[in-house]
Amino acid sequence: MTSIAPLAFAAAAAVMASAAPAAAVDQLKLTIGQRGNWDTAVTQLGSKAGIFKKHDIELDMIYTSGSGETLQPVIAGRADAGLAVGTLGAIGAYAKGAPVRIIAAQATGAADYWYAKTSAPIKTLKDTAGKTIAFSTRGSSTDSIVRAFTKEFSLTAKPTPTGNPSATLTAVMTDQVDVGWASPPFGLKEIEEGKIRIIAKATDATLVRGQTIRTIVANARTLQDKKEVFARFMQAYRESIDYMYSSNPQVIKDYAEFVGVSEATARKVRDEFFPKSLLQPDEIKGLDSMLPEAVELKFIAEPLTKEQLAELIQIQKPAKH
Amino acid sequence: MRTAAAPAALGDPVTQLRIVIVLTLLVTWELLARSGLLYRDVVPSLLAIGGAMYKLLSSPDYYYHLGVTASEIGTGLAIGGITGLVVGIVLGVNRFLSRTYESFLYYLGPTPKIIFFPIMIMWFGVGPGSKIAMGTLSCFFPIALSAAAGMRQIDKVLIRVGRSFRANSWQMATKIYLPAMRHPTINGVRLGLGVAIIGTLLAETKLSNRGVGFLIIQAYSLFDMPRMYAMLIVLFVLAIGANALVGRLGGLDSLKRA
Repeated sequence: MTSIAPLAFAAAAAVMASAAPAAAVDQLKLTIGQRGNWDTAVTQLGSKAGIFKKHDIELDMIYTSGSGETLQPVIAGRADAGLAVGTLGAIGAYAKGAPVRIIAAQATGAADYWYAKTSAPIKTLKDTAGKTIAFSTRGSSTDSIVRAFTKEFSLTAKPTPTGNPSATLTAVMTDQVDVGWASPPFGLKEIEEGKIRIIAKATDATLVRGQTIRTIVANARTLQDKKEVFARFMQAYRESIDYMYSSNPQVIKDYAEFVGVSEATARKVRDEFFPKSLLQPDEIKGLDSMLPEAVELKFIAEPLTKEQLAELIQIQKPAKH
Repeated sequence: MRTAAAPAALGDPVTQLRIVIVLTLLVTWELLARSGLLYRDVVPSLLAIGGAMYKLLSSPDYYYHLGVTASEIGTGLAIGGITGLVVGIVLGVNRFLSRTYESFLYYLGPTPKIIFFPIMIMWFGVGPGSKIAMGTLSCFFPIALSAAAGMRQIDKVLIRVGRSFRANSWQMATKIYLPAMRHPTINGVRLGLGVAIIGTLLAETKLSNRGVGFLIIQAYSLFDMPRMYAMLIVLFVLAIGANALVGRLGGLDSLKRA
């Protein structure tokens, strides 16, 4: 009996050691808007490549139909972070006392483009005099871009809200609106088929190129409680972006499968519409121009103070090696 | 018996008219799709929709999503149905409570329930809980109001008989009230099922990573209209089937025949 006891103890210890995980995996619940866009696919592609797992993070990704639905669960503490939340919306929610913090930039500049029917005589923005030009909804990033177009190119076209890219395409093809908007990969098939032509890209407006239009937000309390987890999350996020712009062909294959487009289209989306700088997460740019716009669009009553901005924007900087 | 029943059903003028309506709709759709009068990608041909439906029904992934949505609707209907029934019975029995609360139900009933979705997210999270809650909330009102109306329509003689036999509350509910108010209640459940489907799917389109609503909004956002219509048709057929099943289980067929 005495000779068996140490063996049994060793066996039990071995079983317990093998059953225990090598390291605790932290779970993060994310709400993500704009499913299918290249810039909102970072967590999807990074997870598929095992990058988040490498940092002991497991993601539960829930897709939403817009910035509001992305933000609400974060404010309610039902999601840890929200991706692709409009910067103005995040600022507005914070100003109203919502426990929300911006932890990273999600899109600086925009890949959205404006198009017209190929049968229409509109070839550039200058041809839009007396015509209608679409944006999604009041206060959205596309609204800001159309305002920027109007200012920079002295346009006289009438801005018209048309909703999402699907509804906008229908409106353009049925001549209800002259110029529509879309975000790739949406519309690339129609361009290839010769139904529509691009007449402007969001980045044609100087103002847009330097603006962080969408952010990653977290609940203030969750951020406080899981600061170290968020730091690891952001590290994995940065590595995922590097992976997305690497020569690894798997990333294009995974994105094509995720969105349901051909690999050629997926590659075109990345190479022609989304420069890597658009996805940089470490700086919120263009606040000087966005705060007055937030006031004008009634997101806030007055521009935020420096102290308020410092509390709102808590970028999770990369760890220094 | 069955072989004789089928031709008899086809010979029924109502059935014939229904078939004609469906065929007219299909032919009109196809003519519009081919005419070029409407944007063709929004009104795809029946062939394209049929192809998309074949692909959809051949995909095991679709059945997973369908299962998710069905379980959310089923759970929502069960919770909303039972609470609606209980509330309806209480309101139907108690005149004071009815006068106090029933008008609120009438006011809240037609309110678009999606406005409560942020509250549901706060209470039940971003997972299936908030979708079930939307289904529950949606079906509660028609079921409660139908049950209350059904209670008031019960023959007073039946109630007096139950009381003269000194039936307790449970016996009164199970032996007198529920059997006597079956038909209006089942009609309420059928209405409730419809709005539970709408509420749950709407919630899935807003915030989800699974379910038929999620698939529909994905197809729409990619402008994959044939796939979207295919999913809507399948959903429509399933809703008809579920509705008929509820009607049959509730004995509405026998009422119609009578």
